[in-house]
Amino acid sequence: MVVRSFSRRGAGTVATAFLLLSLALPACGAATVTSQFGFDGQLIRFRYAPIRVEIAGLSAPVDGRIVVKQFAGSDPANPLPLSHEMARGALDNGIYEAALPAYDLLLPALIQLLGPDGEVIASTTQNVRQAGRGLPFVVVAGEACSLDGSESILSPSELPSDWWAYEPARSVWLTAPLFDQAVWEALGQWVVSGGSLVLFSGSDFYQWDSPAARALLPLSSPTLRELSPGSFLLTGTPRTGAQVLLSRDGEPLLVRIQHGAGHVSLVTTRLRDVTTADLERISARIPSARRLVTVDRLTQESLNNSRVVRPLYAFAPAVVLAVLLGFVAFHRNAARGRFVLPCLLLLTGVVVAVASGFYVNRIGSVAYQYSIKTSFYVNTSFVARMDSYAFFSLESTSVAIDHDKRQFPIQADVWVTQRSRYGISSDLTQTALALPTRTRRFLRTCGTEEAEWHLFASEDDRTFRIENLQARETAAALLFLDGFFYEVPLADGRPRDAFASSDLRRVSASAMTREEALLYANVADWLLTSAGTWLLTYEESSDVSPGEDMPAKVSLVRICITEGERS
Amino acid sequence: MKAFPLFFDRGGYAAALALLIGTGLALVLSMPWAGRVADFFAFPWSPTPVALFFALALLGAVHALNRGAAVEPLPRVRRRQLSSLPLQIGFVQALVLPHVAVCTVLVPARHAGLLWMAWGYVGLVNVAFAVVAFRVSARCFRLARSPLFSLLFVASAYYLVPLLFEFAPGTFRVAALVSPAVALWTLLAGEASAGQLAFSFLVPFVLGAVLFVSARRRVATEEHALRP
Repeated sequence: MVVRSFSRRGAGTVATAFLLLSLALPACGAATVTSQFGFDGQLIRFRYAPIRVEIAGLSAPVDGRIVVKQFAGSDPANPLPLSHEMARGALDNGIYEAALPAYDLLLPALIQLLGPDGEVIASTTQNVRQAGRGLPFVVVAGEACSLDGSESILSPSELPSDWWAYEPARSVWLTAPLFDQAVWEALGQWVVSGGSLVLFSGSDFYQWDSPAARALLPLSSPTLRELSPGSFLLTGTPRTGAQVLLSRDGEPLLVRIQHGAGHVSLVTTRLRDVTTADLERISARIPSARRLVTVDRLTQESLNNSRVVRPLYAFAPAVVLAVLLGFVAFHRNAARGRFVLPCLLLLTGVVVAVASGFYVNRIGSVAYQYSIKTSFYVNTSFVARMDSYAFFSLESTSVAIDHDKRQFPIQADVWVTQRSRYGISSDLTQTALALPTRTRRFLRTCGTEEAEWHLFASEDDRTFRIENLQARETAAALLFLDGFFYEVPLADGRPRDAFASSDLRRVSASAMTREEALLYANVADWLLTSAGTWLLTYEESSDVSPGEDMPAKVSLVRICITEGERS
Repeated sequence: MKAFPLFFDRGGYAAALALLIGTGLALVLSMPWAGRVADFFAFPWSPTPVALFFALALLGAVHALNRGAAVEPLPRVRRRQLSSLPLQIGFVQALVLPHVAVCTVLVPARHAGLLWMAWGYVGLVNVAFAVVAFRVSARCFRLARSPLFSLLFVASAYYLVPLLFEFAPGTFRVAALVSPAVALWTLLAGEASAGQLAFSFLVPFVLGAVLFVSARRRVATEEHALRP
């Protein structure tokens, strides 16, 4: 009886202690990871999307990594991970942001906080299947407004600061003040590369006014004018190329200007001062963003047209024929008892053939790997850079792309969802990918590195001055002025430092050289509608290098589109 | 018997010529033909330069069997013939040297060593084949039978039977390397470990050496028995 009572009491004590301990467990500070991939959870397959990862519950900074793994492939039991390292080093509680390529949206993305030895400290999964969208969508940052019912609504503070993260957006509507200058820069860069930005101003203007914001405005010297008590209108002098698209009560309501390949549309009042009917009229006049202005197609064509570096085809048949003839001659002579001379001849033939093989091998006359990198710069008051990569190999190998921090490459053209073609692994500054035998892979990275070119024009556009900081040799240089293209005079393979408009010779598209035509083909669709003066330069270099793994033909192309500045 | 008939009589010339033509054809077809990268996709003919070695292994085996099977009736001549077998195989191996040298141009430099190793391996296997053919043919000669089917059987068995070990578990699978086809494939793929390489080379070497010594003894006994 005593034993039974004791055991009952003991069990009760243990159960109570366990209950108390389990209640205390959450307070022990277990790390947690939460994430949001996409704009308000919306993204598009094979386009960049912003990701925000929040780490909480760490009692001290951890020397670790944040890794995002997406899974692709048609084999659900053994999917292929596409891994991107978002952050590395001493990680603490906080928010970590990046722009990642979104790939196969069927399987959930895995976000992990890894320790120094790769152990998982915390992880979470995000189901991206429901978030996938087929077409670009409107992003509204700030006060919600109903446009087509599919817009993504978020706070301006949630906007990404990498311009390429806006790739899935059809247009970005800024309906509340934005204070982060890095985000203003990113929006400007996105506009220059083809984006479409809508700004609501009115009495909110002075809250978000900044040099970066002013550079985007279609009005110079903007000022507020009170229309009625509490209702303000932003007015100013329209810049060259600005168009008033909508008016209300004789005052401009919607003013649009082209910046690079994209547009900025300014609504001169606050969102709350715009009627539903006006909003519909505005919405109908907002152009869609272009797919990022890139030179992917040019890079792909360059790879396809790349000459295969190999020995002369006749080399092998000639060697085979020489050996055959030598052998037949040897047999004939040997049958007649003449041995010495035929033996010597045959021996000489073999030695010469073998030596020629070694010689050809030594000079590395076969290139097994072909890579082309085309860098495309749009250089205005905002700078956007797009690098397109194309790879091909005759032998199975792997390639690595060095990039700036968190500027992860995206696969630009995925035709087949084979495991071998899909795989990619990125750390902060380098991306590795497999290159199977005789397959092509195309990738693209985006960045903010400035081009080395500057064009200064006099007030009357009569004289021009060019600054080329890298002083590289240029294959072609064009000047775009008043809707026409002009050949820029070259000296020693470089554009002359200074020249007058009288030195320029106008060129039509049909009379352009190959390089000039390539330049024209890649910018004509948007540059022809631009105002201002632009300098277009094309540089090209190609080299066969021994490579780490196998001889490789590496071609580099740089295209810079620079907007003229007043000197 | 002079060297010339030893090397070229009884189909020796034709076998060597076939070897040169066959390997030459494999080499010519495996030259990269495309002028531009797009050509590789417009007409996706993707020959591999290592096809030369499979042609060399196949036609070299035919040549080796031919040379080994050309058994002379006189034991004295037969002894010279047996001794000349490695030379005969070495002669055709030397003839295809230019082809191998050109082939090394067509693969990355890191693979060139493997090609030379494969060339040496094929030579070793062919010497073993020639000695096996000599033993089989000499026996058939004594029994007054045609050696053709026996040779085909032995050659096929050497190539094919070890393939069954591909299905064996664990360490037994290495026995598949006895087959020249498997050994050559593993070697050219660059997947062979040092142990596998040693095993691949050791098998034909031991087989050829043991059979060569025993065949030599047998021929010496026959020659001795015929002495007055």
